[in-house]
Amino acid sequence: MTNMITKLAEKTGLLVTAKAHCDVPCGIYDTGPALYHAVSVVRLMDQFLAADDSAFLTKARLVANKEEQAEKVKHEIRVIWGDYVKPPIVEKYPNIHELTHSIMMTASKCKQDCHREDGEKLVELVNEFAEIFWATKGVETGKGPCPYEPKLPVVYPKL
Amino acid sequence: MRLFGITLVLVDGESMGHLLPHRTLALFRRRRNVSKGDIVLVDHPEFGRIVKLVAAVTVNGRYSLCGAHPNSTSEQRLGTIEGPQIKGSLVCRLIKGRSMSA
Repeated sequence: MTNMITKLAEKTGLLVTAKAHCDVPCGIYDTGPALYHAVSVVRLMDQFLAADDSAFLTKARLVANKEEQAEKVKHEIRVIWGDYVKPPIVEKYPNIHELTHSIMMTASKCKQDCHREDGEKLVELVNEFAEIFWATKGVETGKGPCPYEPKLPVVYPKL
Repeated sequence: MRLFGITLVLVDGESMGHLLPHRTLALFRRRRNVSKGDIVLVDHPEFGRIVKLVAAVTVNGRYSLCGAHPNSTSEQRLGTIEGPQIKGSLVCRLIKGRSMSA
């Protein structure tokens, strides 16, 4: 109906289009970056745990990077949760708030310490979030090991 | 095109949030007095023809603008505009559009 009226108004020259765009590209959200950062957390944990104790500068750098990557996971998920997730999505996926909170808590655990199981859990939770996200877009997903270390299973959209 | 000071406007974008969702068809009318909180159609020197909220009217009679979405271009970035740049304020929504993100 809107399209019909709009086209008619456009043809008759009655219509004016006014932009109402945001600073960031409107409507562009993707869970890819969150997964990338979550997998990076695990990779950095592996490198930290494998590094010799005498390489303390390397270890310090790895820890700092791990914390940064975990914080980026939190940021990416927060943006999707805060800007993209709306009441119809919450209605369909009632666990979305709890899942988001779990991601925040687990990412914080990854920052606090260097337990690989926390990193693995973070990847798994972000995978779960990604599955829901792509389902809201009507995009089918697949799950397979990422083609680089730590080769953990990650959710990909089948585009 | 304007008829009797009325402009038919198609909103393109999400920055007005739920007030004027993307692809809302609305009528704007030229008014002498515009005040804080009004939704206005503006010919902006940098951003072109835009729809925004009047965030404040400054002491020297200029208008500062803002969007209704958290990611909207900020008030500071939009700067202040003069009265003649306001081409109309919202009269009514004819057809409400739909948010692109849900």
